[in-house]
Amino acid sequence: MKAELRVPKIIETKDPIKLVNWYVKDGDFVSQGSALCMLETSKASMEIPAEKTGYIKLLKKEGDYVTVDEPICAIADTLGELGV
Amino acid sequence: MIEALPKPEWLVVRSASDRRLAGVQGAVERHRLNTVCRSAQCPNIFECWHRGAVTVLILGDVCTRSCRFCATAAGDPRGFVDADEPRRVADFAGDMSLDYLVISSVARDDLRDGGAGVFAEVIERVRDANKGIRIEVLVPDFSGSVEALATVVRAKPDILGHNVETVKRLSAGVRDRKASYETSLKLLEATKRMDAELVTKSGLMLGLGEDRGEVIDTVRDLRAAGVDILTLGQYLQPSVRQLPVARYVTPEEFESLRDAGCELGFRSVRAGPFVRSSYHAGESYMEMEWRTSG
Repeated sequence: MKAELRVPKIIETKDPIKLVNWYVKDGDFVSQGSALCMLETSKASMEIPAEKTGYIKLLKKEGDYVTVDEPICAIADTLGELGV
Repeated sequence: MIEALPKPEWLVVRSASDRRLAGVQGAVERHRLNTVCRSAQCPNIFECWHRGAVTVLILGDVCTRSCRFCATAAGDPRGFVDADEPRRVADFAGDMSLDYLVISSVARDDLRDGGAGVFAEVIERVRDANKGIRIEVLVPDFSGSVEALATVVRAKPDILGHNVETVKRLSAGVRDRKASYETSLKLLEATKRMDAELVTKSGLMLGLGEDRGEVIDTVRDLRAAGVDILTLGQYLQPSVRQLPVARYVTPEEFESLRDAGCELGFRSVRAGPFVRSSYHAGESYMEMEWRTSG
């Protein structure tokens, strides 16, 4: 099963959020709860953990600006689902 | 355009999206409440909401002041008061089985009592519906009105907080022109005169351009005003529209200031990069009770 990880909706900002860096790369296997990337708002840097265990495909690259609820990566049970 | 200072490594938070956090978010939305946590874009929101700690923002989400550090929308609510809000806050506390609740508000200079009557009603409704709950209020300065303050004091919150926000020299440039360092100190002093048993609390943000001596002077002023609980935290710029951060204060400096505050006789001092006035508020209250009883 494939799921998208989105910028948490709880962040209350209309300003762009910077994707500072990824700790993982396409095709990596990650465990639920492990830190995937660092986002930066005006107020703080924020590590985003994996919501489920699986293989990763990045949808955004380092330096991109993202908005609340925007998908930043996909996580799937198999690499085939991601086309990686 | 002035480039923002790079964030130091100690200003990293971890987001979460678990069931408990979603439960709090759902309850906040179901009861149609505003929260300081979201309005102020607080970086502690993940940790606090995971623990079920929410700071409710009453009297709407439009503030009649334009402090230069704050992201809350400024405007004129034209006297509008949501008469059902006190009931919803009480119901929220019940649904969440809260044993400690912090209630704050926007400034409401458009209301004759600055919103003090609504504060009192919320305190009473929450307490009536939630036996044993501790209630902390973080109030605006009510434009210096002693009558308005007395309305809140008579409702007997467990803690009355009012933030001086910054040191005296920077106050005029950081806070709205209707606010002042002196008015804030007088409000805190007046609270103690009205009810010596009522615990008072205040805090300031560091990193706005103050020096250590000015912080110590402010802390002394707060202690002289009878303040029991002190909070010191890092100012964080909510967006490019607010004041930039002048300096990131190190955790070690916060630790040193915490010790200085304790030596001055505060009953509880919280100091650290992520400390805000309501951060771990319940724990501060318990620490104060423990120190008092010990």
